[in-house]
Amino acid sequence: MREFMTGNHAVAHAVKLCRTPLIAAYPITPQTPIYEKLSEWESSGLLQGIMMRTESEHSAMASCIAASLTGVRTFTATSSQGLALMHEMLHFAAGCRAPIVMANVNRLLAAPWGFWADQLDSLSQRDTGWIQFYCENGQEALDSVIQAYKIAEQVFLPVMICLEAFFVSHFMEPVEIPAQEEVDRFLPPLNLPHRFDIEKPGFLVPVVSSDLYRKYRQMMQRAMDSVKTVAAQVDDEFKTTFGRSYGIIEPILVEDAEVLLVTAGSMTSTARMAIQTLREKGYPVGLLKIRLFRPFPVEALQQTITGKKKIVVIDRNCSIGSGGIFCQELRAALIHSPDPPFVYNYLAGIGGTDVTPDTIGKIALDAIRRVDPADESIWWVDV
Amino acid sequence: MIEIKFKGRGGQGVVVASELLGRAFFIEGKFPQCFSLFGSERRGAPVIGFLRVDEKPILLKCQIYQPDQLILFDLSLVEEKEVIEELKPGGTLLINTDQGIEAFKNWRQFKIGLIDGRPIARGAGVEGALNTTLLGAYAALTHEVRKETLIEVVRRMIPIKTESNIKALQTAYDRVRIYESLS
Amino acid sequence: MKVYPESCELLIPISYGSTEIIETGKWGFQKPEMVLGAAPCEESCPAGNPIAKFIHFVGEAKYDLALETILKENPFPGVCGRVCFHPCERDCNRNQYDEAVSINALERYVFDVTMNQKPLLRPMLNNHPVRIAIVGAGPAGLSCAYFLAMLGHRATIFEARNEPGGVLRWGIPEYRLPKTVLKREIRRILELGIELKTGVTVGKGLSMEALSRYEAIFLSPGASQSLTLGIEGENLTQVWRGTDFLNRINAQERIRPGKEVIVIGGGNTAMDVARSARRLGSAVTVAYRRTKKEMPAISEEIEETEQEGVHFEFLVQPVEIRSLPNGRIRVKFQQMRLKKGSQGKRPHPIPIKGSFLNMETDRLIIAAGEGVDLSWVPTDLIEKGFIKETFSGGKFFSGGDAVNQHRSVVTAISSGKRAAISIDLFLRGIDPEEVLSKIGIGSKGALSMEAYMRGLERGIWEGPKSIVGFDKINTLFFKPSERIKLKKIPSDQALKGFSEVRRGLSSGEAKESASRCFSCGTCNECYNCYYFCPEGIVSLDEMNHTRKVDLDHCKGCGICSKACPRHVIEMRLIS
Repeated sequence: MREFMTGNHAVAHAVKLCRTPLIAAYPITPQTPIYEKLSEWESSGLLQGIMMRTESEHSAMASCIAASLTGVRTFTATSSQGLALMHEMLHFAAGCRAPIVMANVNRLLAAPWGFWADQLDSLSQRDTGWIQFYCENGQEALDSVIQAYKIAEQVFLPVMICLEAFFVSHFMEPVEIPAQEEVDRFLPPLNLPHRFDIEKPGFLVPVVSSDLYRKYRQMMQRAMDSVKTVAAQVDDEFKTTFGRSYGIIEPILVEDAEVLLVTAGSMTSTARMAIQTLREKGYPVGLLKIRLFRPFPVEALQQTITGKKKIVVIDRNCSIGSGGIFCQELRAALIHSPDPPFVYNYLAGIGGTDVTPDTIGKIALDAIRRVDPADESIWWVDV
Repeated sequence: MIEIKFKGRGGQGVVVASELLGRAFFIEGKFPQCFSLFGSERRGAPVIGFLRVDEKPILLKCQIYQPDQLILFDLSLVEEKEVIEELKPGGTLLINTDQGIEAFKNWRQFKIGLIDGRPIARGAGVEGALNTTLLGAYAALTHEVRKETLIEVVRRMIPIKTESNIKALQTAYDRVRIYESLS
Repeated sequence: MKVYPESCELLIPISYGSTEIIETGKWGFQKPEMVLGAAPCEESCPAGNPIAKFIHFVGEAKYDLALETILKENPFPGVCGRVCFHPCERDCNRNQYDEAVSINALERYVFDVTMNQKPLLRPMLNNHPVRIAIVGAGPAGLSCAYFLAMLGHRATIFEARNEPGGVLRWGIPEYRLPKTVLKREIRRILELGIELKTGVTVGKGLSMEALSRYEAIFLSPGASQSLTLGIEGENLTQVWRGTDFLNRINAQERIRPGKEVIVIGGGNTAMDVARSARRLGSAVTVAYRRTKKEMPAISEEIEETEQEGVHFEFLVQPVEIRSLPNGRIRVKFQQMRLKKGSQGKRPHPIPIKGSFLNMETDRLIIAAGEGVDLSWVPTDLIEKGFIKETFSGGKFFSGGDAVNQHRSVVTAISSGKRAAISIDLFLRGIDPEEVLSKIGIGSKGALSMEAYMRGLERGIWEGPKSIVGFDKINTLFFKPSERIKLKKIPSDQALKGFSEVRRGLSSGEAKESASRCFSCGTCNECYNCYYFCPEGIVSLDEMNHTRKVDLDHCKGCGICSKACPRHVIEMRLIS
C-alpha cells in the first residue's frame, strides 16, 4: 500500500512491521516523530511491542542491549547529541554481539547548536562495531530497517540506519508500505539464543585476558567482513519479496563514465538529476552511491572504480583535520588499484546547507577542469 | 513537474496547507513531495512551505528556488522585486489580500488570483488558519487539483471544525478573483 | 558462509564460570571482625542486664527470648521493672541524642507479657554437689541461690520470716510491687531445686556452729531495723518505726496511723511510709533535714509522693517529742542549713542556732534509715555495724543490705550473683579476683553470668567487653523520637487503695520504645553490613542470628564497619 508520509514515519512503519517487542528511546529533534508515532501506536494498541521511555540515550541503548540478550528484537532511534551520549553503550552493544537496530537521523553536532542535516554524528561512530547504512529517502529507510534485522540477526552485530535530518526525515513523499504477511515471511519470528538464563547464570562482559580480547575482536571483524556478502544476499531476497533493491553500493551510468561522482544519503537522489543534465551537455559523468559504510565495501568499490580517471567524492560531513570521511575511506580503498585515479573531495551540504542539482553540476565541472590531483578537501560554496 | 511555494507566518496554517495539497495530489495519483523550511517554530515567525508534484517520483532533495506557483498568506513578508525575481516567468500567484488587482500592477506578467481569506474563514467559523480557504481559491485558480479531492483530504486530515473548513474552502473556491497574465 | 562460531558463549563475552577462584581477600590489609561490645546502660546496671539484646527481642515480639535473655543475668525482671532506680536510663547513649530509652518499662513489659509462661532455663550439670547455706531469702539471698542453681549447685535458704522475699515482701508496698509479681518470680527461682526453710533464725533455730558446717555460707540477712533518732520522746506510743509500719501493712494488718502523720526521712522507705499513710487516710508531712535535691529516694517516687498530696518540710531535724494531753504529740524541729560538701559529697546539714519549728501531730513515723541485726553474727564477721563485704579465703560470703553498700534491690541482686560466682570459684579452688575482673561489664562492678559460664565451658575467661560510647554510634541511621510517657492511675483513685500506680506499656508502646534502642555494641540484625558491602560477601545466617563475611573475598574496605550503626564491626589490621 502506498502512502504519503515523512521519512521518520516510514521508519516507524518498518519497526511496527518487524513486530519489534522492545523499543527503548529518548526523544530528540529531528528523530522525535519516530518516537511519537511509535508511542501513539503503542497507546492505541497498534504496536505489538512496548515503548520503554528511558531517561537518556545512554540508558536507551543499555536497555536495548539487555533486552536483546534475552533473545528479542529491539529498536531505538536517536540523532546527533543523543547518539554521542550513547557512544559508550554502542561499543557494548557490538561487543556483546547484540543484533539491535537503530535509526539515526543525521543531524549536525554541537557546537554551535543546530538541527540541520550533517552526517558527522553517525560517522563519528564508525569504529564502534556497528553496521551502517545511509539512505536517500523514506522508502529506502523503511526497507533498510527491515533488511537490517535480517542482517543483524545473521551476523550478530547491531545495525544503524542513517537518514538525514529534514531532507529525508521530514520530506513527505509517497512510500510503499509492505504488507504485514510479506514482512512476516521475510522476517520470521526471532529465535535468538537466550543469553540470560536463570537456570544457567552467567556474567556478561567479564574481564578477559589480552589473548581472549583479541580473539573476540577478531571474531567481530570476521563477522563484520561477512556483512558485505550477507547484506547483498538479504537485498536480493528483499527484491524477490518486495520488488525493490538497493545494493550495498549502487553504480549509475558508470560504465562509460570518465568522471565518477560519489555520494551517500539524500544527496545521491539530487545527483541522479544532476548527472542527467551533465550527460545531456556531453560530459562523461557517472554516479556511485555508497549505501553500506560499515563494513566499507572495499572490493565492490574497487571493481566499480577500476579504470576511472577522476573520482569526485561529495561529503556532507567533515572530520576536522582530515576532511570528508567517505573520501578518506574511499582513498584508502583504492590505494592498491593498478592505475589509481585522482580522488577529489568536495565538502558540500555541511550543516544542512542546500545541495541542488546545479551545485552538483558545478562541482563536477570544477573537477573536470582540474589537471592536478588535490589532497585537501575543497569547501564548496555556490556562487 | 510543478513547484509550489507557500509563504506566511506561523499559525496561519502554511505547513498544513502544503501537506493538504500534497495529499490531494497524492490521492489523484501524482507523486508529490512536500516539506517546509523551519526556522524557529513559533507563532508569527515567517514560515515557508514547499510542494513539488510530478507524474513520476521526484528525486530532488533540495529547496525550491524558482517556483511555478507562489501562494502568499501574508503580503507583509514579501517585497515586490523579490516576487518578480523568484517566480518563474509565466508562473501563477495566489494572494491573500483585501486589495483589488490595481495594487498588483507590477506583477501582471503572472497569472494572479486574489482572495480576501480572513473574512471568508471567519464567516465559515474558522479562526486563525487560512489554509483551507486558500486551497479552495488555489483549486479554482489553477485547476491542478479537483475541489472534491481537497474536500476529501480536509475530511480525512482535519478532525476539528471539519465542516467549517470545507465551507471556507468552498466559499473561497467560488469567490477567488482570477486575472490572467498580461504578457 | 560461517560467520559465528560454534557456540554463543564464544560469540559474546559471557562467563558462566565464577570469579570466586580469585581470592581478592588477599589484597586487603585489614579485615572486619564482629566485636560485640557492651552498652553504657549495661555497664551501669549492677545486675548486668543484657539490655540491648532483650530490647532487640522485644522489638521482634519474641518476648520469651527477651525473658530468657534477662533471666541469664537477673532473676527479678518483674520486680526490677517496677522498683529499680534504673541507673541504666541515666547512662543510656540515647540521652545524648534525644531522650533515654524506656529500659525499665520495657523490662517490666517483658515480665508482664510472659507472666503465664514458663521460661526455659538451662542450669549447668554438676556431678559433685555440695551443701551451701544462705541466710535470708531477700533479693540477695534468692539471687545467690538462683545463680548457684544455674551453676549446678544446690543451696538451702534459711529465712527467719514465714515467707520469702525480704524487703520485697515486707518492705515495698503493694502499690509499687504487687505481691502476685513477687510470688511469680520467687516461685520461678525456687523451682530450680532450691530448699527454703522459713521461720528459722540463726542463733535460735539454727546454731552458728551448725551453719558453719556447710561447705559455703552466704549471709544476706538484710537491714530491717529502723534506726533510732536518739532523742527524747522517741519511745512514745505515738511514735512508730517505718519498717514496722510497712511490715504490718504488708502482713495485711488493718491499721490507722491517725489523722495527721509526720514521716522523718528522705529515702525510699520514707516515701513508702508517707504514701502508705496517705492510703490509710492520713494527712502526711515528710520532714527531711536536707533539701529535695539531696533526697536519696528515686526521683519518680518523690514526684509521685508529691502528686499524692504529701507535704514536705525541708531542712528540719527532730530534736524532741512531747506527748500532749489530747493524745497528740508535739515535735520540735531544729532548723538546718546546708554546708557545701567536700570532694563531691552531698551537702552537710548544720543546725541554725536558736531556730526551731514546732509541729503537732497524731503520729510520727521514723524512716531515717535501717540497721542490721548483728546479734547472731560472730564478731570477726562484723565491721562498723555491717557484715563484712569480703572475707579472704574463708567459706563465708555476704551481700545485700547487711553489708556496707548502696541499698537497692538491684545491688542486692548483684551481690547475690557475685557471691554465687565467688562460691563456685571457691569450691573449684580458683582465685575469684582474677576471674571476676575478666567477667565484668565495663568498670562499674557489674558481672556477666553468661561470660562466667562461657569461660567455664571454654576453660578460659576472655577479657571484658569494651563499652560502646555515644561517639561510636552512627546516628545517621536514627531519627529523633520522643520517649513514651508512662501512664499512671490518677492520684485520687490511687489513694483509695493499694493498687499498682504505674501502668505498663501497651504492646504498641513497647514496640515503639524498643525501636528507639541504638543496640549499642549488639548486633540486632539490621542488615546494614549486608546491604552496604560492595562485594556482596556478607551472608546472613538468620537461623543462628549471625553475619558471616567471606574473608577470602573481602578486600577490607571497611564500609561494613562504617555502616554499622551500633559499632559491632571493627576493622583489624592483618598482622
